[in-house]
This record gives sequence, C-alpha cells and structure tokens, in this order.
Amino acid sequence: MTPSVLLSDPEKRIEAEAAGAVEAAPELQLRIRGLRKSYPGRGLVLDGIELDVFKGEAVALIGSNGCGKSTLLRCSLRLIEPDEAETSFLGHEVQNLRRSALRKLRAKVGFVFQKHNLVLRSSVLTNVIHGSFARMPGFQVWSQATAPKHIREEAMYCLQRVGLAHLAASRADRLSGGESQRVALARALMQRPQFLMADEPVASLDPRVGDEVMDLLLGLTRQEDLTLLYVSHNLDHALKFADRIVGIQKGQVRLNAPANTLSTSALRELYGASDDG
Amino acid sequence: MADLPPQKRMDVPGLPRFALYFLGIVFFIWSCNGANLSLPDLIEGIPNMGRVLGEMSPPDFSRISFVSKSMLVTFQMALVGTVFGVFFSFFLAILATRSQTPSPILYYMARFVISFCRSVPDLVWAIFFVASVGLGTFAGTLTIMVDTIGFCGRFFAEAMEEVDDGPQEALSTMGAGRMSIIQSAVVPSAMPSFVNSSLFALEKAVRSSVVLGLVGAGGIGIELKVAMDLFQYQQAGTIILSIFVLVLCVEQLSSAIRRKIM
Ligand SMILES: Nc1ncnc2c1ncn2[C@@H]1O[C@H](COP(=O)(O)OP(=O)(O)OP(=O)(O)O)[C@@H](O)[C@H]1O
Ligand SMILES: [Mg+2]
Repeated sequence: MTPSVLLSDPEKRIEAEAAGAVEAAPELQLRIRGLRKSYPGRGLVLDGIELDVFKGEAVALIGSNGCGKSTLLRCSLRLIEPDEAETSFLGHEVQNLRRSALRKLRAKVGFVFQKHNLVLRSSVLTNVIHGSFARMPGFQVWSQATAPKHIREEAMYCLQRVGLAHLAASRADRLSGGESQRVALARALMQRPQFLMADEPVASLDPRVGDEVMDLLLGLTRQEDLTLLYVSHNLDHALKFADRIVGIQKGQVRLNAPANTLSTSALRELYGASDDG
Repeated sequence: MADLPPQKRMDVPGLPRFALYFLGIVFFIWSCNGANLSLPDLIEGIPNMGRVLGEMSPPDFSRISFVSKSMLVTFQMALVGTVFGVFFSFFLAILATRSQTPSPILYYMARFVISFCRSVPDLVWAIFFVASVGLGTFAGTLTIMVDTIGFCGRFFAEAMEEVDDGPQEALSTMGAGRMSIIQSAVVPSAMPSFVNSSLFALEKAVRSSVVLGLVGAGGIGIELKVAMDLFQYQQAGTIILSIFVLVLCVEQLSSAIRRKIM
C-alpha cells in the first residue's frame, strides 16, 4: 500500500507519480459501511454490508433471489431508506443529504432497471430527453416538443451511442426488449452520469440480445470512463463483464474478488442455501 | 393440499342470508307501489302519447333558424362548461390521487369536493347558479362545469392511480421533480383514459344542457317548455328533432375521436 501522506499531499504525489514511484491510486467513488435494512415482517435483509467501488471499475453483484441486492442498490441512493448506514457516494455523505442535495447526487448516477421503465406512450427521443431533468428547468424537457435544440441534439447523440438514432421518432411501446433497454441506457447517458447502476439489466432479454446489451453497457462504461455496479443472475455475464464480483449471502458480503480469479463453480457456492423465505 | 375449505357457494344459504334476500324482495315490491306503477294508466295513456306525437308531425320548420341558433348556443354552453370542467378536474384529480397528492389533507379535501360535485344533481346546481348569477347561459355553463368536475375528477384520479409506477421511479431516480414526473410519466400514460372520460363528459353535458333551460339556465330547454305549454306541438317537434340530431352528431364525433386516439 502506498503511504497515505504521499497521496494526500498533491505536490508530493505528482512528483512521485512523475518518478513512477506510485501508481495513481483509483478514486473511491462508493463506500458503504454498516448498511442494515429490515422490512416489516421480513426481518433484517441486509445485516452490515460493506462495499467499496472505485472509479472506472465494473463490479457485478450476485446472490440468490431475495438476498437483498436490489435493496442494496436502492439504499445506496436512499431510494429506500436504510435503517442504518454510512455511505459516501461520489464525495457526498449520503445519510446527511437533504432532499435537494440528494436529487443532485441521484442525477449523477445513471440507473438502469430490469423493466427498462420507459414512458411507453412517449417517443424514444422524449424518453432520452428526460435524462436531462436534473440540469434543466423541468417544464422545458417534459417532451421533445418543448426541449431546446441543444438538448435534442445531445439526446440524439446519446441514441447514436447505443445505435438507435434511427428509432428516435418511434413510440417506446413499439420497441423490442433489447431496443428498449438500449433506450433506457441512452437515457442514463443523457444524465451525463459519473456512475452507472443496473439492476438485472438483461434479465428480460434473450441470451444473444442480453450479451449485446451487456457488451454495450460495459463498452460505454469504458469509453466514457464511468463506473459500473450491476446486479446479475447470469454467472457467465458476471465473469465476462466485470472486473470484480461481489457476492451477498445472509445479508453480508461473502465474496469479493477480481473476476479473473473466479470460476462459475466457485460462484455457485453462494447459492447453496437459499435466502428466500 | 389436504384440507381445502368447503366451497362456500355450494352451501345452503343460512337463515340470516335468507332473511336478507326476503327483505330485499319485500322492499322492491313496496317500492313498485311507491313508484305508482299502474298498467291501466299506461294502457289508457297510449292513445294520448300517440295523439301528442301525431300533433308534433309534421314538425313546423318555420322557426328553424331561430331554433338552430338556440341549439348552437346550447352546444357552446356544453362545450365551454366541459372544457373548463376538464381543466379544473385535472388539477383536483392530482390532489385526489393517493400516489401523487402532496398531502393527505389535500387528498381528502379534493376527494370531498369531487364527490360533492357529483352527488348533487345537475338541475339542483342549475337552480343554485340561476339564483346566484342570474338567468341565462352563464348559469348553465357553471352547472356543466361543476357536473364535469364531479365526473372527470373521479375518473382522472382513477386513471392516474392505475399508471405503472416503474417510469415514475425511473424519473425520480434521475432527479426529476414531482410536477415533472406527473407531466412526463403519469399524464402520457393516462392520456387515453383522460380523453375518453372527457368525451363522455361532453356527451353528458350536451344532453344535460338541453334540460337546464327548464330551470332558466339557458339553452334550448326553455323553448321546448314554452312550445309544449302553448300546445305548439309542431314547434316542439322541430326542437326535439334538432336535439336528437345534435346529440347524435356529438356522439358520432366523439367516437370518431376515440377511435383515432386509442
Ligand atoms: N417493500 C418491501 N416490503 C417488504 N419486504 C420487501 C420489500 N422489498 C423487498 N422485500 C424483501 O426483502 C428481501 C430482499 O429483496 P430484494 O428485492 O432486495 O432482493 P434481491 O436480491 O434483489 O432479489 P432478486 O434477485 O429476486 O431480485 C426479499 O425477501 C423481499 O421479499
Ligand atoms: Mg432484485
């Protein structure tokens, strides 16, 4: 480990880096400590989760059904209030944030859902434009008709990134599953996020399209220099599309290792005893 | 799987339930009496009905231009009342939707206003508005507006309640405010329902605007009453015929719009 004095003093650090003495330490973007969450009638779902995610990493979160992965993602942004947690996210102490500051933090995190969650009766372009809600006065970006030109252009660019510019004018309920998840991804990009979170992003897609979407998700993470934290039940995906795999069992982190040191059979052990019921 | 509950419907009804059915039937028979159902009166009345209908034809079209103008005003009253009613319904309905309301107090207040508008019959509203703003179409317009709020407020709120909450969660995750979420996720999803209810409200308004004239709230109703009171059945025939045409046109128009939107 590099001595911390060296890292905290910028001048010394630059010198040291120039001399090749230290590698630039990656920035810790998400740090969760002592996360506990119970639901009424369900008891403790998460019982002291500790998790670190560094800038530029892709981390896969795995664990059996009901072990609390979705709860963990949501608690990190307080979309669900945890019972207890110390979370530092992109430099914010999440537990201390007021409503408006929390909204600003959430805006920096692109969240992709299993159900895609597009507004079905609106156009693809409108859906992507919604990604700019946090930085635009709301009424301007309610729909494509009212959005200023530079926003529409940026949305088109985001659609290009996911290869769907030609569908901008289609209605969202006319899309295939893969297309619709890619639109959701474009919407997340429109947020100009620093961090991407995804909860089973390809669970409703067929294997081929699922691979494509994962490829795209990881590709964009790399190109845009983002950080990715996603939940998956597909162990091959976890191994292939992540730098690190974190496994949850009985409310705690039971596995935390670089993906290239793991194998499917090692991961299967996590699913030995079900957390369900 | 061993002990499924016995199927309830196969049971012989117990004594309390039997008593309840019996009471229901007794009350209905009593009500028929209260409603003065009388077959002889009906049979005796048939020739009269025929006579009145006979005297209405052929309809007297000499005053058709006056009647059409009056019909137009009736329709305008219905249209304007419905549009304002729909407008206010939208905002009241947001307050009256459990998932969107900013506070429980506002929720109950909005619910109360909507139910109140709905449960007081339109003729009663018309009498009230005639007494407060005077005779004429303005009273009728207000009546229709209030009636529309009672109707649309309820259905708009139900439509918003049923909207999928996934997109709403997504937008709030992206940092959108409450009003933005309503405008860009809730309203588009509930739009077919909004349009449908509004069109029904318009049809309803056209029908009721015809009778509002009877209590002086403007529109064609008063002409019909005068014609009937003066035994000018041929004039009345013209009016009834034009009411029929108007209602039919509005219904056709609204189902055409409905087909296009759905
Ligand atoms: N709102 C809620 N109220 C009560 N219990 C809940 C609620 N949400 C989740 N739970 C329970 O908490 C547990 C964890 O749920 P969570 O959705 O986080 O699991 P998960 O790991 O994402 O599961 P899956 O892999 O099936 O998506 C489950 O047992 C679930 O039943
Ligand atoms: Mg889940």
